[in-house]
Amino acid sequence: MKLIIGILLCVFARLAFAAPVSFEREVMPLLEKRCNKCHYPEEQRGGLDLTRIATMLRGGDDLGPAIVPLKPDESPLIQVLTGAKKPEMPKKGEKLPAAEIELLRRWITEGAHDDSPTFASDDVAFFEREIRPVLAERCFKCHAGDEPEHGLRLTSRQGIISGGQRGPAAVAGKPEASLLINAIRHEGELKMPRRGDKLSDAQIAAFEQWIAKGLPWPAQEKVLARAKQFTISDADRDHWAFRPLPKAVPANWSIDATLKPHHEKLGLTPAPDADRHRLLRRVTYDLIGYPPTLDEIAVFVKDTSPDAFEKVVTRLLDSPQFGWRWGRHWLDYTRNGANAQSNRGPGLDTERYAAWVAQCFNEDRPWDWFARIHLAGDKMKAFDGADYSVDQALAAAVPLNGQRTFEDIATQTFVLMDKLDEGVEFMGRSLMGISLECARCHDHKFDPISQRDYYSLLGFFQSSWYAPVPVNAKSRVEAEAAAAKHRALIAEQARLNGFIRKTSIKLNVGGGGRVKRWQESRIPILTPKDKRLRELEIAVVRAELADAEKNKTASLAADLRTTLRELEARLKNHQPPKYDFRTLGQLNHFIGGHKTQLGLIKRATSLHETELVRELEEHLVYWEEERQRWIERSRFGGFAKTDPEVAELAKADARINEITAELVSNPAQPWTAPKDTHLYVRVDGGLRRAEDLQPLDDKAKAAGLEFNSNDHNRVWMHPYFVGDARLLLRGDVLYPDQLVPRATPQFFGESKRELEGSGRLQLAEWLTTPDSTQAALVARAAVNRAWQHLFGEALCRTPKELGRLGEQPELPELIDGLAAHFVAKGWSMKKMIREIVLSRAYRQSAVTTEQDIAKDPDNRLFARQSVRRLEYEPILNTMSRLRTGQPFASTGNLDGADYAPYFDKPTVYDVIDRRVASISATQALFLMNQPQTARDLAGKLTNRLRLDDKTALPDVLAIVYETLLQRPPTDAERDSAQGFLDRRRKQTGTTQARDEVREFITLLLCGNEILYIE
Amino acid sequence: MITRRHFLTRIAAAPGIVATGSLWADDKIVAAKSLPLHHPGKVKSIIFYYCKGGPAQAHTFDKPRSVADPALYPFGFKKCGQSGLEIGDVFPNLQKVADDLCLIRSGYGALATHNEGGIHIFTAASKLGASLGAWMLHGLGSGNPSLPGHVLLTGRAEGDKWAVSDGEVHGGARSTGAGGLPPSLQAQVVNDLQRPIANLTSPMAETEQTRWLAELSALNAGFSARHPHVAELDSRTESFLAAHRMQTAAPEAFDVAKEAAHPAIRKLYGLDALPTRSTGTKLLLARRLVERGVRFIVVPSMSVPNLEGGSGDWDTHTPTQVRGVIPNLALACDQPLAGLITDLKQRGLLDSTLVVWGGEMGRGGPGHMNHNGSAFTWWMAGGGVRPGFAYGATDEQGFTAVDKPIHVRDLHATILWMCGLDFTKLKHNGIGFDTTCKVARGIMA
Repeated sequence: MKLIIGILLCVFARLAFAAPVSFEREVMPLLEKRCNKCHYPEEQRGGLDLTRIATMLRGGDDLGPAIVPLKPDESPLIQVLTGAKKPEMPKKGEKLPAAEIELLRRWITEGAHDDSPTFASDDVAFFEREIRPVLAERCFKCHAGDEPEHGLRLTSRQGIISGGQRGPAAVAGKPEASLLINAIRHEGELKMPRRGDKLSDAQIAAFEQWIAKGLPWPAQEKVLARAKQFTISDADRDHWAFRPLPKAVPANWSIDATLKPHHEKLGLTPAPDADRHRLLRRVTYDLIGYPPTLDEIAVFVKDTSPDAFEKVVTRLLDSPQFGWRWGRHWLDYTRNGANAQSNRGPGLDTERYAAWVAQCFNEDRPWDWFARIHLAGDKMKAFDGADYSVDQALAAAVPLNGQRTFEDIATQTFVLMDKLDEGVEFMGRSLMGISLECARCHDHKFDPISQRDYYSLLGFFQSSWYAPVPVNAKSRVEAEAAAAKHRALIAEQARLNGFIRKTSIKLNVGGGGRVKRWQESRIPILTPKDKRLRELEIAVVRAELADAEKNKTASLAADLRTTLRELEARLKNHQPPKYDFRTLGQLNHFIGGHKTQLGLIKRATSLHETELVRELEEHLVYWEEERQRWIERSRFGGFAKTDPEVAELAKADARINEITAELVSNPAQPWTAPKDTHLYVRVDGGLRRAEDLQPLDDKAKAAGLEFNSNDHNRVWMHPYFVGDARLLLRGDVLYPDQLVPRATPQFFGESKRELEGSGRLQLAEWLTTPDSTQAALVARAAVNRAWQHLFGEALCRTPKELGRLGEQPELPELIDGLAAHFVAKGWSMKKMIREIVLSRAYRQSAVTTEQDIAKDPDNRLFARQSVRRLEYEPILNTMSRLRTGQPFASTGNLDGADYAPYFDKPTVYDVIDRRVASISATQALFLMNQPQTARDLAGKLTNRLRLDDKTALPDVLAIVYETLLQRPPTDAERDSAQGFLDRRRKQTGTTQARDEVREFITLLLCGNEILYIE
Repeated sequence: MITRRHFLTRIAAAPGIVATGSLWADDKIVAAKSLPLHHPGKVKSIIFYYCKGGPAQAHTFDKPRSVADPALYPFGFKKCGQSGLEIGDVFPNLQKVADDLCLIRSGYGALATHNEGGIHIFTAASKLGASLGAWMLHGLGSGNPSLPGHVLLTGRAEGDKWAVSDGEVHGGARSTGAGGLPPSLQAQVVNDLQRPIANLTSPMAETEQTRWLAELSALNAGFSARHPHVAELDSRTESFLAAHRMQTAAPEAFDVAKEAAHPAIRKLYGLDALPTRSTGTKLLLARRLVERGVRFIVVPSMSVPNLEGGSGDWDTHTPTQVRGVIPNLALACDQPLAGLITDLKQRGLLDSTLVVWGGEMGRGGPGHMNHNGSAFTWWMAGGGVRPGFAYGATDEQGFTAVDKPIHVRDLHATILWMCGLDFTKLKHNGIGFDTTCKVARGIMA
């Protein structure tokens, strides 16, 4: 018995050891991984296809059959891998490890057989008909390519059987044991395809049948796809925000009617109407960002007419503050229209843009037009019908204001890519409410946007850039001519600079290092000057020391003594200075001061050492002139500018100065605004693609242009770019791939428009095409945000992500109804806001029953209004009104109290979809202890109340409450105020009415209610 | 519903904020004063000595094995301590604490421009653009409700006319900002060591203010009663009580004078010599803040005089800068950092405090000392890192990280891991970290 077992074991071991190499399980996956990115049927690099034995035996163009069965050493496949024959393979990446080559050798030695099962033609036909289309459409978006999701590759039979990180996806013949079936049936935790869009029952049944048959697969095509395949599914089309808007909304559709069934379903009773004071306060803050005035309160409270509230809403919508308030909401989506990084990107006129935005809101310009302007405002007629509007062109430049840039001109193309990316991001996030920018490196994981779509959009943005044009430009032709002239001047300047640089190097070298010699000749002249400067420094320190001793600051005196000793020692061994441009420049700071450096002059001045100051000032002038001399000598190859040897250079230099005077903006510092007469706006014609720069450089140099490839102005020297973008593999500029024609994303349907110039105008027109899905997104994004500004929370609570990555709204039909009304009423913001504000939902109280709060704690169904803290701007408005007593005082001067760090001033770095209301101890300290905040405001307000000493607090309570909280005090509050008074009198003994009122107002200003809308 | 973490981070983890009082009376968090960890973590506080400009690894902690241009490499190295770590001779005092340091020589993935590099080194892994300090505070919660949890220390000690700048961070406010996290998580900037936090002086006497706060609470109670479900109203009332506590706690915490009177402390932190005075004062202050539960303290290097004329920071391109600035930059931080490590150790705090040294990028390439994003050296001490250890390595010349390369974002994930935080679980509104982060367990003991 033992013997038999022993023999059996031996046989098994031998079998296991000698098991033949499997083509399907071992060889093919290896070839796929390392060889078949090039050697597959569609590509056949070198004429070679390594996906099938037959084609391997046929071989490629140069080396004949790739394999010679049984003879690995004669097989070119092995020879190129080991390096025995050229070309060495693989071309890309590392050599194959010895073990892998050995595997291939063994397979060839064993005869190079294909061991994959063959299937009846009927079964293969079944696969082709029922399975393959589903795999391709529903699975290859993720489970294909080099990095398939969870390691599972569904593109080959072997891939399915060997499976991914969760183990085999299918067991041939056993559908019930197959994870794949489990996943597509949505039985377990794993539900595929992801995001709920289940396969049909018939499709699932087909998969079961197919696995039961042993996964029949075509012998000729072992791998169906070698990269992830972008597909659009029904679930994409069915996503709430990607559906077209309802064609017609029933005549009796209303916000309240839409909410009602939801409330009933959950047993929610809508909150009662808000009282008139609180309602007026809410609507006034919401629409204009200010509290109502005492007069406005009186009028509304007394107005018993049925349309009293409507009259208020009309008044507010007509108020000029409306545009600023609602314009500000939009500015949150444009990074404030500001150039976030102080030393990057174009210096846009932020204030002008904000004023224009306010004007658009006040004039209720249609939202679809407003959206188009931000893509192509420079190419559209002005709103008033004129040929051109510089404001619109400025608005079109706003998407260029992001912070993502690099400082080095050698990487200018990166600047371009990131700036352009922000253009696409802006179009997606700010206008459409979706994340187009996610597709920069790969197909969008959740939304129907492919990487190709991304680059097809990028081309529009790549074909334009910014340029300064006259503020009063009347026509597009005029503006474009101004921009072109500006660019030509920059190019000329760059060319001349290149000429000077090159010639001066020649002169310098030809003269045997003329510059260096001149610099050396300066040392004997500078040495005594420098020595004197050191003496002056010592004199200053001495004076400081005397002063410190006089004022008995012992530690400081000790420090100064140390310093003095060091300086004196250094003076004793005074060395001729080793100057260069940098140190000469720093001398300037040393003497005159700079940023955090307190210069010698200031130090001497503060000690009233007038004689020292005088001499130091002379030094300052001298050293600055010296620095200029150094610069001049270096620029003119060691000559002075006036020397006859450099007459031609001097002429070029003069022309450069002329151009500099003529240029309206500094091309090296585009972040500084152009001259007052000009604005940076968007124009057609962008900078070139990364990979084009070198060839263009070569061409330019061959044509005799003198410039340095690291030249700051190099990018301006080549013709402007209008054309298509190149797809970048993994979004990396170092890996440009094929050109992608400018177009709109496939999901939204082809745009048939003929492109003019950059094509932005056509893109803008496409964006708001009536009845289109993209226009529906623009409308939905707008109404969703308006709701957020009026209720504290949006209907879809991710207002810059309405796609499938965002939150599923509770009430999509409410968004759709509002959006349909919005579009039908000419994209009128004011009408839409009016519709929401006049709804009962808006007017209800924020106070409701505990049960209702428990049923809907997050207020997703809006059966009550919300309690929310005022945003930064309304807080400033409120404080400045309290400060001055003027209804719409400027918020510029709040007596030096800076509310920004404590009350969440919005950042200019990002697109903001939700304001934060932070609570912090530093905020409390600011209100309690900063002398110019609560206490000072309370004092000013008290002064305006003109109280005499006999007034008692209870008598002025009504006016105090109405001024601060816009409502009368309740009886309980009157009692508490009296209590406050009594306690205070007892504690402090004072009975000055003014003090008492001031103290009470301070308390209200620090309290919660004044900062909250309810 | 607002989850506890959400609520605490939105409200309680703000600089110097509420986590005590009636609102939390029955909450365990009050006692612990921190949020539940994802896994056991040692680090409770971090002191980041940031070297502005990007220090050259080859001049500091990563001796190149082959040098082509000796003019650019004037400094020697020594094998130090029992561990035999090689440390540059410009750091004679750090050489003495070599056995406490964990050198990370294989950093890469830095952006090789200052401004962007600064933002990147502090925020790299965050999908929200939030700084490492903001995330740490978000994850751990406030360690002391009476003090800010995230602090940037700049400014100079009294009498320091040696340093040329107050110390600042490349990238500005974004580098220590909250990004998309609640703004209250951003670093509280201290510009003036004499007046570190604004508005601490109350115009009222203590008893009067206590009474005033009671009146305020009573007033707010009325409004809260209308909206019992709006928790933030109570938190705001609490924030005034926290502010009141901060009035006492902050001046006490930020006042180094008493401690600085001790000769031993003066010596340890180098408070007497001018070149080390400001840095020493800031690191002493940082240690005091750590003792009091502050989470993340950034101390940026200051610009210093160039021995050969002018001044500079760690942005040392030319041989003149290398020879003239680096000795002074090293001098400024060498004694104070060694002193800090010694002091933390003596107080038993080194285990729970992570000291980090590093800049926004590395430096050096063939024939030059320019910016380099593919190799940089940081070191860490304390907080459970492997002491006396060098993690990873660069190539022969020190230009590229080749052995165990660790990306900027991996450094973030690793540091957070040591705090007991798992980057995959740190989220805000569903958004969190770059998923490609890897935790480098090799640097942990």
